[in-house]
Amino acid sequence: MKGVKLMIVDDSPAIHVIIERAAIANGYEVCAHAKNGDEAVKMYESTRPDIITMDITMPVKDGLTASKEILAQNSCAKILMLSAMGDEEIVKEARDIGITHFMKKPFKGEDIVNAINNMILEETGD
Amino acid sequence: MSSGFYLDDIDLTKMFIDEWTECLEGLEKEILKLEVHSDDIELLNDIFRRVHSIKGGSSFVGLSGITRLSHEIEFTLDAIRKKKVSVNLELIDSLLQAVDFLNSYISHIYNKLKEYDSSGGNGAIYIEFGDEQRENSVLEGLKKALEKCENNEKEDGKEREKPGQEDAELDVLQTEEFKSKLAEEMKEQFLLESTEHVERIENQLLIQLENNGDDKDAIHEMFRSIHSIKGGIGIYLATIPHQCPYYTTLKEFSEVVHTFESLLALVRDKGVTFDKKLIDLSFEVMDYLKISMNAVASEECHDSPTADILDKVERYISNLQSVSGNSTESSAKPVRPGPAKIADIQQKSNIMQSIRVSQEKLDKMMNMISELLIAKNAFMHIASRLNLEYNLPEMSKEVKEVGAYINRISDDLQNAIMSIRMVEIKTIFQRMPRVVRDISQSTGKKMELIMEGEDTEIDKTIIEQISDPLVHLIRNAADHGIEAPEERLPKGKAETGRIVLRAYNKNKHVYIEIEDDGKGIDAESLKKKAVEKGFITETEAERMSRSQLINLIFLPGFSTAKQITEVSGRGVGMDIVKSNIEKINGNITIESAVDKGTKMIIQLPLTLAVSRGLTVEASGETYIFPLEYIVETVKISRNNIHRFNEKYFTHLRGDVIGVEWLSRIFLTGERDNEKEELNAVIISNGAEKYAIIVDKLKSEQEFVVKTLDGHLASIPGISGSTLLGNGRVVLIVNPADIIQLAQEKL
Repeated sequence: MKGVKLMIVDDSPAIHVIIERAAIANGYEVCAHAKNGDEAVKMYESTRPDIITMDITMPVKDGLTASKEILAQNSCAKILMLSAMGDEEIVKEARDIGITHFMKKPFKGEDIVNAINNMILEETGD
Repeated sequence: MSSGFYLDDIDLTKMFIDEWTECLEGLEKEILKLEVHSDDIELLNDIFRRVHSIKGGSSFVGLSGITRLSHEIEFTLDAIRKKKVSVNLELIDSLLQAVDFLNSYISHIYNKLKEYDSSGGNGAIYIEFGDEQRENSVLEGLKKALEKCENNEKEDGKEREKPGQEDAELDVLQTEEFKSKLAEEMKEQFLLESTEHVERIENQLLIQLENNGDDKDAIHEMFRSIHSIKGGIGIYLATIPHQCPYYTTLKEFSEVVHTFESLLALVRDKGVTFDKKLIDLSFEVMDYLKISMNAVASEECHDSPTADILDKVERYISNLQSVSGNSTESSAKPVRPGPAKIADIQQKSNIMQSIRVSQEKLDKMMNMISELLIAKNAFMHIASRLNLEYNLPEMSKEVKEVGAYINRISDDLQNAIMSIRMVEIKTIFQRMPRVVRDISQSTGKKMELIMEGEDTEIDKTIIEQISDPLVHLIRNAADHGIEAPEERLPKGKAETGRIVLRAYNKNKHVYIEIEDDGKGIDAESLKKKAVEKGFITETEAERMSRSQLINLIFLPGFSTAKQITEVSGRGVGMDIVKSNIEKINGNITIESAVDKGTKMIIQLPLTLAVSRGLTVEASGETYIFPLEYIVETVKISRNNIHRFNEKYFTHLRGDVIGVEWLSRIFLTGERDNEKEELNAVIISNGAEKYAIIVDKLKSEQEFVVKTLDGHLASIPGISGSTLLGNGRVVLIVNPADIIQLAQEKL
């Protein structure tokens, strides 16, 4: 049985910790930590995670641009976008490029796990 | 605005503070740069990002003061970025002030944490930060500076009026709209998922556990389901405002789920057997959850017995804890299911390879297909007219070919849509174990329910309609059919009664059978009762066949239970069951033998949308008989029709069956005396057959039922209308009514 591989993209180490804690407790594997969009795009090809949690506001390259580039590499990439209050416009744009999963900050570890579970269920429904 | 709060995740807070300090470093310098390079978008974005990070992080650890402050700064920066305001000295000043304040706020918390660490503290920490006045003045200053900039712009004669405020309104609107839409989606999802979980626990896992209290897998599954419900409600709660009418209901719901989860964790980790008490408690909790979910679905808030349930669960938990204090080491095991969860997910994903589509969409599609069917019939009609009326056989042939092609496509399409609407009958069968269990509990009878053919598929609308009648019949079987053990043993039956619920496909119909090995229906006592109650006269009763007698239980107001019990029967049951089944073109028949048992057989159409029927002609009018009621069509010779007491009857292969003319029933004409051979449609309502004489048997065809409205809706003998290929409206005959009308005819 293959574990679910997760890539966390966020400029805040604390968020990495929150997500990783929840993920590991549920038997997921965190295969990549990226602290900005640029790193995420570069790491995506080599690690091929099942799920990406993507922050929006990050230095160097923001989450929306990174998501676009990742989706260009693999249109089936599963991205869970983490939005904060005030990100509504970006969320709209993200929906336009085909991202369907969003999580509003603040969230709890179990919220992330539930969202990931749902995404995996959907994926296998393809 | 509270000036103090508890921090519970110290480590996380420390990490955030480290990040923030990094963000704030240089922020001051950057803002100063802004004064000269106000259109440096890179610079602005960087400042914006730093503040945004702080905002996002602070919301995680509950430092609402920081969230508020950083949000205001961000708002101002956004206005600059979108060129709604031009930067002036005052704006930069107030921004700097705000950042300063943010800095002091964060370092205050930092110091507190340091103090706390050195004192070797543990657990949550209370942080007081009371400089509300300063906070307000900083925020006020920021706002004023922003407003001034906007006013300047207005005076400058730019065309936008109060751009900042307008934007603020828009922003709020977007957020509200976004939130309410999100909440609506969340609610739907939450209700759907929770209902699935509750049903699964109630109808599968608890029944499993009742048979085997040590079924570890079932306990695990139940824990997972409850855990999922808890997760679902957590997300949902986060999206709805506190003043929402059912917020408290949800909050209580969440509390009950959480407590129940703890109980299950205890049960699992201590290896406690799932005994009857625990099962009863679980059922109570499930009932509570269902009540609460209904309340949320209907957006009502009402008092649910939360305290009562919570109390019961908690008492159970403390019992468990005190009993097995000796095995403390096992309770230290991790509560989370660990990798097993993934196995669960993957297993689930194999089953649920589907998408959800709203029923409305399917209904609309089905409706369109029905129209297509009518159009298709019209095609064939034109083809025959081309040949006969216009004498264009070549053309007719071509049209016919195209018609046949369309016919094939529409057939395929219809089948495809119908298969989408098909649902496994499992969805309603699942409810039955609980029904039987409840009755077994309250009556003390022993019984088992055996289910067969759960994967039989049937139209969703039919599933919805059949559910209540089925529950009623199962209750009847359990309550009235199965005898108490002390009655069963002398009869040589097993102590435990058996109820078999069976579904299968036969001849384009779905059959559902409910069979019990109970005391059966006593036709003689039914007869006595029917006469007593005045439903039939004694002479009528003597003339009735056994199956006619048994069918008396379908008469309104006829209850055979000697005692009205809590569970079933006030005499309003069977007639409603029958009429509900007939409403969906179904049919119910009973076979019963005293002391052997009773078998109810329900015949249902595969789908409601399209039916097949036989078109006939009587006194110049065309009618359609639904095929499912037709036993056969025969030619009856005039000599073979006999008359007795104003009733007509005939012999048909050894049976004596009633005969009536359709034109006489609808009062459109008299029987004709000329023909030697008469066309008869033999129809049956399950219990008896009747021969209905018509002038002409025309063709068998598909038809789409169009219901009749208003004063036309209640014409006896007619259930609706349909359009033929030639555009003519014809009436659909209701055979059950026709039999009744024929019997009353003198």
